[in-house]
Amino acid sequence: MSVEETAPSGQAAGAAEHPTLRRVLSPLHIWALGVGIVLVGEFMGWNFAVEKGGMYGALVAGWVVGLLYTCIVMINSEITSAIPAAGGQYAQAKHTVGPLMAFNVGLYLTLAYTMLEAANANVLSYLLSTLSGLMGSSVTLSPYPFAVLAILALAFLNYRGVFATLTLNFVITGFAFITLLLLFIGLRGWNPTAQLDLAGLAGSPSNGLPYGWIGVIAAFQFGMWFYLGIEGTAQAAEECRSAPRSVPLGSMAGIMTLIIAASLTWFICAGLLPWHYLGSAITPLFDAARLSGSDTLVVLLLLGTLCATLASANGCINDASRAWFSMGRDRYLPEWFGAVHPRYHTPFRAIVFLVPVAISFAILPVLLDQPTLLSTVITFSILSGLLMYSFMGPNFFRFRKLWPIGSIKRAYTLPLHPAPAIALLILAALVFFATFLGYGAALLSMLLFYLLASIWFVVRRYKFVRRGAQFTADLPRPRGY
Amino acid sequence: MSAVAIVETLAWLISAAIAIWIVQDMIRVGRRHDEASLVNAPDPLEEPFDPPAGTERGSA
Repeated sequence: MSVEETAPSGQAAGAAEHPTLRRVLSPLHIWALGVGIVLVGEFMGWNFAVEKGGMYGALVAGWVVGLLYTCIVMINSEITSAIPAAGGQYAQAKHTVGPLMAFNVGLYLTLAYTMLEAANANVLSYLLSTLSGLMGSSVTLSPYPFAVLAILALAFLNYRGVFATLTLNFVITGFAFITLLLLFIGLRGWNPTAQLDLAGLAGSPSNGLPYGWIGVIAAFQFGMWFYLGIEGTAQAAEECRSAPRSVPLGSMAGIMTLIIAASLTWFICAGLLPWHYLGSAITPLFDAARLSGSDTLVVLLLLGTLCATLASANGCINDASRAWFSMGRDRYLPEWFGAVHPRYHTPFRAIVFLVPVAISFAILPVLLDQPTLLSTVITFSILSGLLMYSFMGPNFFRFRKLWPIGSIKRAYTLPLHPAPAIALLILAALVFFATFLGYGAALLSMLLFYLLASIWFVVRRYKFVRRGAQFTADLPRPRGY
Repeated sequence: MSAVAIVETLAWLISAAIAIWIVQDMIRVGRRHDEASLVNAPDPLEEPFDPPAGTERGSA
C-alpha cells in the first residue's frame, strides 16, 4: 500500500525550508479518528456500569455521560475551528491560560492516549488467543508478540503518513460499526420479544436499578467508555484541509454515531444477557453474538471487536504523538521531539518515542502476572481524560472572554452559551465523584503525579519555553496578552 | 514446530523488521538534514501578529 501523499501546491514552498504537517484530512478522517478511538468501548468496558448500577443504571449513565461528551464536542468544535493546531486542547490552553496549564493538558493528553493504546494492544492479544482457541488450537498463544507487533505496525503506519493512517481507521471503524448494526438486524432488534427478552432481563427493579440512584451515579465512571476519546478529533486540526469545516462536521457526526452505537449496544446486551453476567463480561457484544446461535454473527462480531481495538490503538498513536510533538515544538519538552519528517510530514520522533512506552505498559500486566495492572493502566487513562474535561469548561469561558462573539470569524458558534459549559462542569464533577467512589486511591496518586510533573516543569523546563512565541493562532491578540 | 509457534515467530520477525526500518530511517533523516530545519517552531524574534484596527480575523 502506498502511503505517501501529495502535498497541496501552496505548501510546497514552505515545506522546502521547514517541513510541516500535511493538510490532507477531510471530515471523514476526523470522524474516523474520533469514533475509531472510542468504538472499542462499545465492544467491551461499558458493561461494568451494569455491575454498579444495574441495567437501567447503565442506560442512564450512558445517556447522561453522552450529554457531557456532547458538550465537550461542541465546545471543542468552536475553539478548535479558531485555533486549529496540533495538540488540540494543549494548544487551546497555551493561548487561553498559560504554559503551566498547557504543559499539564499536554501531559494528560499524551498519557491518556498512550495508556489507552497499551490497553488496546493487550486486549488485542487476548482476542487473538481467544480466536486461536475457537479455531481448535490446544496451545495458548503468547500475548507478547502480538501486542508488540500491533503497536509497531500501527506506529509504522503513523510514521509513514496521516492520510493512510486515518483512511485505514475509517475502513476498520466503519466495519466495526456495521457489525454492530448487523447484530441488531440479526437479532431482529426492532421486535424486543422475538429473540431479545428485554422485559424479563431488565424490566424489574431487582435487575434494572438494583442499587437505586447511588448505583446510577457509581455507573457514570463506566458510562465514559461509550465516548472516551472523541475529544481527540482536535488533535488532527492542523492536518485538515479546512479545519473550521472538518473538525465540527467530523466531531458532531462522531458523537451522534457514538450515541446511536451506545444505545444499540445496551439494547442488544440488556435483552440477551443476565445483568450479573453482563456486569463482569469481558466481551459482551461478542457474547451476545454467541447467544444468537448464528455462526456468521459470531465471526462478524469477533472481527468487529478486533477492528475496533486496532482502530482505537491507531487513533491513540496519532493523538498522543501530536500532543507530544506540539510540546516539543514549543520547547515544553526537548525541541528534538518537535521535528517533522521531511518526506512523510509526520511528527516521527514523537511517534517513535512513545512506542516503547506503550509496549512497556501493554506487556507489563502479563509479564508481572498482574491482571489488575491492566485496569490500573486503563484507570490512569480515564482519570487523565477526566482532568482534561474539568479544564475544558473554564477554558471555554476564558476563550469567549478573550475573543467575544463578533471579534473573530467563527466557523462554528456554540449555541446557548453558557449552558453547555456549565453542564460540562457539573457533569465532570459528578463523574469525578463517581470515579472517586471506585478509584479514590488511584485518583489521588494520579493528582500527586501531575503535581510532581508540574514542579519539574516549573523548576527545570520553564526557562526553555519561548514565552514570546506562544501565541501562534491566526487571531488578534487580546489586550494585555 | 507447531502452527502457534510459527505464527508467534512470524510476529516477532515482522516486529523486528519494522523496528529496524524505523530506527534506520530516523538515523538517516538525522544525518542528512540540518536539525534546525526539521523543527518547525515559531520564531520568537518575529514580530507578533497585530491586525489593523477594525479588521476581523479568524481561521475560516
